[in-house]
Amino acid sequence: MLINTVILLLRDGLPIVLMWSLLLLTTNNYVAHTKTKVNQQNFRQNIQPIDIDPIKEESQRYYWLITAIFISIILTSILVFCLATISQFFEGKGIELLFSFIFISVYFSIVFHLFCVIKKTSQHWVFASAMLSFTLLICVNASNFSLYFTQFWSQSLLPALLIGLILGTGICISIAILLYFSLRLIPKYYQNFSIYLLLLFFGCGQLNQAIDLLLQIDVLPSYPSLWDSSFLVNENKELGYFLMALLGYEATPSLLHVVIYGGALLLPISCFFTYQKFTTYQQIGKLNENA
Amino acid sequence: MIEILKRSLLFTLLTTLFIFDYAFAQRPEFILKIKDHLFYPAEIEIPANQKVKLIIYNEDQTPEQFDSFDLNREKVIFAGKKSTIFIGPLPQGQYHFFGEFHPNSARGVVIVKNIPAPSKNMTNQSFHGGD
Repeated sequence: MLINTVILLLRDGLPIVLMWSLLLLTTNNYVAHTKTKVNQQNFRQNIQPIDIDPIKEESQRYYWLITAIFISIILTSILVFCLATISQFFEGKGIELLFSFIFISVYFSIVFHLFCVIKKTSQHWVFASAMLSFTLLICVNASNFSLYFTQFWSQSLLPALLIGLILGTGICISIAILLYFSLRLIPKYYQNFSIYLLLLFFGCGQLNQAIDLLLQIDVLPSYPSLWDSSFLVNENKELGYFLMALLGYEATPSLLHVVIYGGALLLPISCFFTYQKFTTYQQIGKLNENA
Repeated sequence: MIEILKRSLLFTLLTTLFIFDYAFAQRPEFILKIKDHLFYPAEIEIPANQKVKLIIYNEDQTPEQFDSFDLNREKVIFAGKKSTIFIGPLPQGQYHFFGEFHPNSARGVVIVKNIPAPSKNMTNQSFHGGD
């Protein structure tokens, strides 16, 4: 029971804490960049900076996280209550259709969040997209674990369940902290790009989850596996769990997995480089006009 | 721009029609029951290289999660309810599955063999004389 609880918590909790780390990095970098830009503008225009209470400033930075956790607790409770009914919709395919829709939404909200952060749009869009993607992910993963947890709550297995919960939570948080500070150690020049790329990989991993669910209910066609890399990294082992949570690793991916994952990864990247080129040409054009 | 939008819309419509046509195709059905945290039958034989429909009935008072790393399938079946998952097409071999909420007791295996493809509406109860 204890080990089973730890394994289930790793499976469902690890994606949540990894996303938490990545979103904290993107939002903090965004806020730091915006603050530097404002200070520079104030310095050039000889404007005295306004003193803001540092605690208030910090709380504004994390309000999206607190709001996301609060909303997801409510939504998860509602979802757990309704899951048994939803499971019977569409001839027993209700849960898969709902969860795959949520996973696809997580991917698109991550892409939108990256777009807002890179383009340096309004702070509200950055935090709103972070909040949306985080809330949706918590709803799906937490509901899965809650089903298991609530089942054994009233039985004599509760002590083992609680110990497993504490152990699993500790492991997940440790991994998230390691990831956060490892990414912070990357040299500044490459740091932002690495974080954005890793978050995009994470989003594509959520898309993989949606594909698996849709394959399960025969909405998408099945193809044979292209390769079997379980001899390198087994999905059942600790590294497999970690890579599955972070990158959507599949030991035996089919053609569908590879095509959709590759497209979901390359399309935003190519849009990013096209946008960079476009803004560079625009700036060159403006300079030529001024000259 | 409008031309690109029209073509994208047409492509999406055709893809959706293809997916729905594919999704409603008939598949051979096999029945699995969960009772007292055990799978009945514990071994299921299915034909190789064919997609099949697995209908799982949970006769227990608590939910169970059908999980299989070999088949890459995971589904919660609520107490007193039934659920459907599709597996395959698979090459010959053995593919293990288990109940994630009771992994020590709920265990089973799907045995994929080169047996003649059953008729589309045949179930394992008539095809293999199961429980």
